[in-house]
This record gives sequence, structure tokens and C-alpha cells, in this order.
Amino acid sequence: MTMFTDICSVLSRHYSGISSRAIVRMALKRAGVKESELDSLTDHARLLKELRRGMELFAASPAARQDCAERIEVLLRVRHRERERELQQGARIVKITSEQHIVDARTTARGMASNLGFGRTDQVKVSTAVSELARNIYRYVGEGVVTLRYIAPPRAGLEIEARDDGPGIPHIDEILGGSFKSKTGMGLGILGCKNLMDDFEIETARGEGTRIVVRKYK
Amino acid sequence: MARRIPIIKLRGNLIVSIQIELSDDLVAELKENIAQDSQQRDVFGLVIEVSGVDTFDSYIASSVREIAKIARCMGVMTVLAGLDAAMAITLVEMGMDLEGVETTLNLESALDILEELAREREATDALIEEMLIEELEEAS
Repeated sequence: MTMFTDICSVLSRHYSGISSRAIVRMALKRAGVKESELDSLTDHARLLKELRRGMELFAASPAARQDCAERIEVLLRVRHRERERELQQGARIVKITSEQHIVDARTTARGMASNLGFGRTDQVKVSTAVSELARNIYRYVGEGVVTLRYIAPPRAGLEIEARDDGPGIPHIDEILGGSFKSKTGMGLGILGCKNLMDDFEIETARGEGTRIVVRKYK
Repeated sequence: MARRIPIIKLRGNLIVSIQIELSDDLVAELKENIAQDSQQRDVFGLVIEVSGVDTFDSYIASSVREIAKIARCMGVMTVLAGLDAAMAITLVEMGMDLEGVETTLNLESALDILEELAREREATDALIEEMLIEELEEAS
């Protein structure tokens, strides 16, 4: 459930579904807030004001409007608190031992990116990068760990560490330089992951496993 | 064995909608089923619909490419449908390509493209036939 649908469902207590969505869309537009930013909005005053204005345009009793406004305010406050608590949380650890864990890792990454207020494209980039890292662990080593953390402001973002005790990645310089071509597509994922993120660090040595740290800033 | 990813046939085209996480054995199963269906039925095109895929990573991209290659060998054209904007940007920034695969926004335009391609092929076939007949007539 997104904040958008939550607000709509509050409004639909007194308004039709179409009117509810129209009120929210218009308020977002007037307050200059994108739908994707709604889940990580910190300052609600402007949006609430615009929502009230929208509610007045559609016929509903003052009591109904007041009821909606109060409920939405509570909703926004609770969500804000949840998000604050969420951002202060420590690392999320996803152990990779099966294909399902690849999905778990990238779903976690996407949720965290959304909490940080990343736009949809960046959310997809982060989850794709995590998918590559987790898949590499699963395919070439079999098991490992993906750790995801929030990076605190001033430069807020997401840090992902992928670690395994596998055989290490051969030809890593050629892979990252883009000159390595393999038939299996091996190496493409790691280079792609590097291209998608802002920071990319790798430590790998023959027989000593691999540790990759990537970061994406807001 | 029951198919985990169903293949639907519609007006000479095979349609596959991927809505679950692809794994190696699933991709292998899909390749085999597509190759089989292309052989058994009269098939012109294949649409791989991916709007239900949450993340289009290099593994899925290379799987789609491989499936398209196999289909090509069976004389079947592949169109990928349902790639959204964020996924397209991600794909390009990663440096991956979908060489040999046509892409469209949705299933409907995918079928339009295939229909057009089928018409073109028919027209070319007719042209070749005409030329052959002419040659034969001249020869006789």
C-alpha cells in the first residue's frame, strides 16, 4: 500500500473513488510533490492545505471535510514517524543460498530506496544492481551475504555490500575495463552494476572470496 | 510435465507472459517449449511479455536474447513487450542490449508489428513467386 492509495481510501469515506483520486492528484500537483515522493515527504503543511482546498471543490459537508483532513494528518504523521524509525535502523542482512534470496535481496533494496525518497528510475537501478550482485553470488559461489544499509545525511543514500568466500573473480580488471567478453554473459552483470551505482569498490583474490561495496546517493 | 510458464497461441503467434522469477531450469524449459511449439504449429511470431517482471537484470536480458535466437532458428520472429521506462533506462545504462529482438510498449503493438512483418514476408514471397514464374515462362 502506498501513501497515495491510503489517502484516497480515507477520502473515499465521503467522496467517490474518482473524486478522491482527483483531489489527491490535484493537491500533489499544486503542492509540487511527485507521487513517488509522497512516501518520503517530510513537510506536510502545504499538501494538507491543498488537499483541504480540493475537498471544498467537491460537495461534502464541513464535518466530513474536517473528518478527512484529520485522518489524513494522522496518516501522514504516522508514516513520517515510521520512516524516521526505519531510516535509523541498522543494516538489513540477506543470506543468499537459493534463487528466492535473489528476489528477497532486491525487494529489500527497492523498499529501502523508496523509503529514502529515490525516484522510480533510481529504485529500479538499485534493485537491478542488487539483483546482479546477489545473482553472481548464487551462480558462481552458491552462498554469500548481501548487507544493505542507509547512509545518513548530509549525503543520504544506500550502501550495499555483497560478500562471499568463493574462488574470487578472475580477469576482474578486464571485466571492469569492458574488454572482457564471455559467452556466458559472466562479467556483464558486474560491469552493469558498476555503471548503475555512484560508488563501486571491489576486493577479490584467487581463493580468497569477493567483497563488493556499492553506493547510490540521493 | 506440466508447464510452469504457459505459451498461448493467437493468430499464428506464440505469446509468453513472464510473471514469475526466472531460474536456469525455467529458462531451459521455456526454450524447449518454444522450440517445440514453433515446430508443431504454424507459427510466425513470438511475443515475450515482461510487464510482470519486477527487475530486468542481465540474466533475464540474456535469457530473452537466447530465446529469440532459438526462435529465429525456427523461423520465428521475437518481439519483447512491456518494458517500462525505468527498466529501459537501467538496461541501457548497464550497457546491455537486446540485439535481434524488437521491443514494444505493450502486447497490442507487439502483435501489430508481427502482423506487419508477416504481411511484408507474404509480399516478398509473392514477388519471388512472380519472378520465378516469369523466368519459367521465358525459359519455356
